[in-house]
Amino acid sequence: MKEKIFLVENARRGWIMNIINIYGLIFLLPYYVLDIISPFYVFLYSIIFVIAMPHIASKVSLHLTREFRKKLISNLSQRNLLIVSYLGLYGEVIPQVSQLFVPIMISLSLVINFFVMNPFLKLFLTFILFFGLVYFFTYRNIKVVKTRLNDILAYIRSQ
Amino acid sequence: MSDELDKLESILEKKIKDEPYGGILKIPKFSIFEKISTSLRWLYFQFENMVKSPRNIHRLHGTIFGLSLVLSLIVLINYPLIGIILIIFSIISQIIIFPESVILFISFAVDVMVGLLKRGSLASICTPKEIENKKRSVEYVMLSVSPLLITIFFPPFLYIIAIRVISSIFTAISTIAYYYLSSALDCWNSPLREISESDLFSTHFWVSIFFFVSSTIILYSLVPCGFSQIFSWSIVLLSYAFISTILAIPSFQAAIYITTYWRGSETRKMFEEIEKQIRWF
Repeated sequence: MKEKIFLVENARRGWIMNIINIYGLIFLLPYYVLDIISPFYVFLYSIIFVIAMPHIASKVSLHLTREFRKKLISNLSQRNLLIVSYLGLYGEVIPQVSQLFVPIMISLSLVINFFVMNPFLKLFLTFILFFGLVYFFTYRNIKVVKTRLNDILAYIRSQ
Repeated sequence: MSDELDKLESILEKKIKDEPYGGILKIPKFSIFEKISTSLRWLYFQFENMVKSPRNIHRLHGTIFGLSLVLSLIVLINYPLIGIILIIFSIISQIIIFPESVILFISFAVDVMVGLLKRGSLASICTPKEIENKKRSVEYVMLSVSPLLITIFFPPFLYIIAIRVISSIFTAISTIAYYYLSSALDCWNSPLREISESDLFSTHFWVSIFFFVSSTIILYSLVPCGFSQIFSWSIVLLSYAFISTILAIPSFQAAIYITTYWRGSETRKMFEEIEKQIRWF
């Protein structure tokens, strides 16, 4: 039972992290665009965001959650182990990436833009940062996957 | 018997002497012109096979379509009416000559773009056949839009800027999808592979990086002064899509490994049961 909970929880974490990051970034875009036009529009958008967005977000999230739950239950009941084990392993690593990668990229890219320097040097520094994070998370991911592989194999053997 | 053999030998020797060059044919030496033409014919034959191969036909059409659009845009800058006619002609001729192009564009939009919005990631579980089909559409779109990145050197008219934005976004997304699909196919082809960093940072990765960086540079060139935050936002979005796809590959390889191992152990158990039954009889 514990192993099943581990797999389901990891599948949920992997799914939710991707949804939050992509949709979160999409919802944040108007702040960047409207700020250039006038702070008043930023204020207006934030009012609309606070009033309307919880309703829209809850509808969207409920719909996506129902779909995800239906698919996961179907995969578990049909013993579709490929999908279940993939989601279990993916969900193990992606939350750390979401919690670290996105804030680091946003913060450091804004800091780099703050300094007055050659635009191509700024681009170069941004890509160096991006590659550094990619290498770090990839090495870590492979290490975690190799460790967790035995746990998932043990769970499958126990079925 | 020996007399007859001697007689036969003498007849054969006489015949050999009557043959030109004493019966030994000279190996003809080709002139330089003949050698060059033979090499060129061989190269043409290989090129023809490559072009006619069903695996490459969509790549060829995609590249030709992209290049035809670039040429049409060059004409459009100087002669607008002729340029528009050429663009329409390119699109219509592409659809007529290669009708599958419409299906490939639609499947790219549905599988990749809609999938990105639904899952928040470009990674997904697919069978090898599904991967081949998706990769076909991704390759076609990537090769069609990536030549348009050259519009960075064109004058900044409004329509050129719009084309730059669209081509950069499509190139970045199709590049990430191409990398994932190529790596996923490698995972299926080697199910028991112990994946390592060198498998992830392969030729596909560097080709993808090249196109990804080129498209983000194009996007950067479009950002007016004071709009750098929007560019930062787009870099964060695209790079997150890239890294979430890279991180999905070891999990996918491990999942294939687990299911292959599981199927193997189930098959072994089945054979053990069969063996027991046979022994019992």
